[in-house]
Amino acid sequence: MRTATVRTWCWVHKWTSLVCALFLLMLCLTGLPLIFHEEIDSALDDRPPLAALPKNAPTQSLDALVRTATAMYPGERPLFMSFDVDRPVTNVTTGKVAQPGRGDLHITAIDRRTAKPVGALDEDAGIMAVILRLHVDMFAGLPGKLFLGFMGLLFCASIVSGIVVYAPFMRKLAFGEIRTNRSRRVRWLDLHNLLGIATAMWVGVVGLTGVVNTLSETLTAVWRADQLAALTRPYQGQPPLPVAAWGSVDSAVRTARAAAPGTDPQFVAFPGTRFSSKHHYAVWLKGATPATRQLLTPALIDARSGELTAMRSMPWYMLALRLSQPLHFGDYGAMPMKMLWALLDVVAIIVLGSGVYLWLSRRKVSA
Amino acid sequence: MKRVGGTFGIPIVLAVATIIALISGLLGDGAVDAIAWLGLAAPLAAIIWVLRAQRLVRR
Repeated sequence: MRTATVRTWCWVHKWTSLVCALFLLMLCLTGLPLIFHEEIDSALDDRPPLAALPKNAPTQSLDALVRTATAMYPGERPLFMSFDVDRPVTNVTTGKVAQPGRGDLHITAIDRRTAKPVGALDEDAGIMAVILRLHVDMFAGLPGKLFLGFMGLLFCASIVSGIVVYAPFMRKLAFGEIRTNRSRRVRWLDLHNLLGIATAMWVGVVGLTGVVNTLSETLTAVWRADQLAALTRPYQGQPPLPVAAWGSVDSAVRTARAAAPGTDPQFVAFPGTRFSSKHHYAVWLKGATPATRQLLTPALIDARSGELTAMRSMPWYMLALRLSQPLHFGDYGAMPMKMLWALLDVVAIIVLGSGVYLWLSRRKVSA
Repeated sequence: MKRVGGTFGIPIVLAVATIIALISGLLGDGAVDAIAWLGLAAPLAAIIWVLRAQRLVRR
């Protein structure tokens, strides 16, 4: 590589890294406890345990669960229904209007076997919620999220340029060689190079998928405007279906599952809500492997007739978004994977820290 | 020390191990998770191995 080219790449590596370093450090530090959020959440969980019933106890119809929720909040209508994976609990969201604001809805956790309400986990309270908000948007909403996405993009550029400048720096050195007979700065440079290049692929994947995740709202909005609208075009112009005219949600879910064998519902969006049309139950089905669990297929069931209107797989950008989630969180390979994720995160923190140190301790004359 | 496979020999092996790990974990639960653990452990093992070979870290 020509000297001028090397200098350019070094410049790119220096500045892309320095600009995002502080934010990346915050993301790595807040990300560490988030890897174990399931374990921490359940350790902090002070809800009373569910009633002990035989393992094969029959479950109540989904319509009964909806009645439980609407009885608790008179005047409200059901919006969403989601299904816990670790316990026989269904969460029913209700509100006065179809698309209420953040504080104007109620989530009722209901035991599927008894149709009685149980303690719900308050996901917006506690230390883990604060850490999550810091990590996702620094309490600055969508602009904060997109800003962190831009920092992640700079980070990706810093990884690529780091790999490029690795070559000239390592021309005479073996993999992982630490020159212990030289200055402290040289030792840290060699360590920075070793830790950086060994974990480059992991850091690159987590960085890039993190950037994709910051686009979640944007991509979902595009998808809803584009595909969901196309699916429900025949219903355009019809007045919204009144709640009293809705058929059974239980049979809607059964119709959807019959149309896509091997799937389970992840959630149901009731007519009029953000993830459905004004005339349909949207049953969002998921598969059984870590990959296909992420790939949701919406089945639109006519809420009046109970018949399947349409079912369509997600477009490529939604697949990319959904697959980016496990690849970013590292939550799809049980506890050993989480431990490795944490260790790799610590290595990334050392690479970031040593990079800043290398810049701070640079020779003043060669600026 | 020898330069095995040139500058990028070992880094490429580690990158391939990582990507195989990340993808295989997505394909299922249970046995394939073990492939994911091995592949993700590879970069960490390489770091520890090369530092120990230079007696920079002890057991």
